[in-house]
Amino acid sequence: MQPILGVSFVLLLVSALGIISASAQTGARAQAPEAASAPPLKRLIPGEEFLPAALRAMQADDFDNPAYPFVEAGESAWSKQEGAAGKSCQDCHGAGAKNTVKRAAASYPKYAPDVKQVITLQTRINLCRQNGLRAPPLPAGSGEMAAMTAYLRWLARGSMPSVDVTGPAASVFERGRTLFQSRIGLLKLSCAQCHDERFGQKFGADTLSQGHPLAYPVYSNGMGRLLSLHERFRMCNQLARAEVQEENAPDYVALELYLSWRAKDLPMTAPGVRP
Amino acid sequence: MRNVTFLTAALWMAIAAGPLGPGNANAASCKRKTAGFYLLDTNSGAPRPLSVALQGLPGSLTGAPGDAERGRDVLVNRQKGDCLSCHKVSSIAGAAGQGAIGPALDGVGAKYSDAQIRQVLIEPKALFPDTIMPSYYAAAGGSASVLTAAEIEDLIAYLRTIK
Repeated sequence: MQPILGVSFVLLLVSALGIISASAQTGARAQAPEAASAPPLKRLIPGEEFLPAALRAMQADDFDNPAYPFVEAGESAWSKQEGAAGKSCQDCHGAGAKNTVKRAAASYPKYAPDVKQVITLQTRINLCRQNGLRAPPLPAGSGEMAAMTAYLRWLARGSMPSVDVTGPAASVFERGRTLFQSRIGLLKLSCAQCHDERFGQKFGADTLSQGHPLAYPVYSNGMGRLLSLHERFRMCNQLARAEVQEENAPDYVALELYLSWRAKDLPMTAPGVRP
Repeated sequence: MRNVTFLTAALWMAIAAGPLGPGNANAASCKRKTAGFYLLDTNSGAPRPLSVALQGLPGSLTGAPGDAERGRDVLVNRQKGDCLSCHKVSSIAGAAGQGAIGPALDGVGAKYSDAQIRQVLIEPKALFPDTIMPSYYAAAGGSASVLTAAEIEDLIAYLRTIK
């Protein structure tokens, strides 16, 4: 009898703990967007936690961060007059402390009513160039595009992703979520198998992260250049021996939207440094 | 009856160990703590050692034994088997670049037969339902197969030399 009583007491105690824990979980869920159920990760861990200490330190110090010159190039391009309209980005959006789009990068990908689709920051930059500056678009993968995205994402550093996955963005978001779970390529691997289920484990020389997009664009130390988020997607696709897609391909926009929502309680850290 | 009570208690403990739980169920695998995050605390996932009795798939795919020297290239080459991204092989230099998603392959050649290794390479999920390891050979061949029949046999020959 005695041991059973003891067990019951433990059970009671543990039940109480369980209830506290369950209510804490409900609290966290209440902040999640209504359109989406709870994210699969119990705890969000920034990508920097999975880096070798030297790279983490390099990223944290703007003087050491090799991506920082891109931020500076983007900042000077911001105030440079370009195109037939004779304007600069600054003429519409302001600069420095008066920059009215300081946190805007955190809200992309975003549904744009003017083009009636979900677009990335890159696409917004080029729409602004086309309609505002009357200047030619910056080619995907160009140094100018890398600089402008690095600058705008750096401006939003410290903000949490503020993506809207409801309304007209809901179907794109669901597409992204489905893609994340889909087994692809010759090796039939999904994003989730590595980045939901195996983060922290060693893959080759690297440690698998949770796959948050917050540090992008990043400077790849090994490749000696800036990588866009969609270029990282292509590298992952190649590891799974799957088809790669173009910058701003609908699948990649959907995946970026899903990943940004999934990371929504972590701050942006762009521009990052990676192996 | 007492068993049921224990089970219920265990279940509650499992639930309680969620977000508010001590979070140190895998304390041994907390390699380092930085900025308040335990890197491995939610996902220790140390691969299980290969120790079960495996069913085999006898009969060379090419009808001939493989070549161990070519098999080493299949194992190392990132465009071919790329085995080291997930498995460690101590006899091959460069441990820093070797992964640990799957078990280390040290001693694999002494433990298993050609037939057993062939089965794992062709249909690992038949033996390990939860494994992430893909199938490396499809009988249809061509672009649907990661490796060719000859590469599979060469790889088996090399793996058997890892004693």
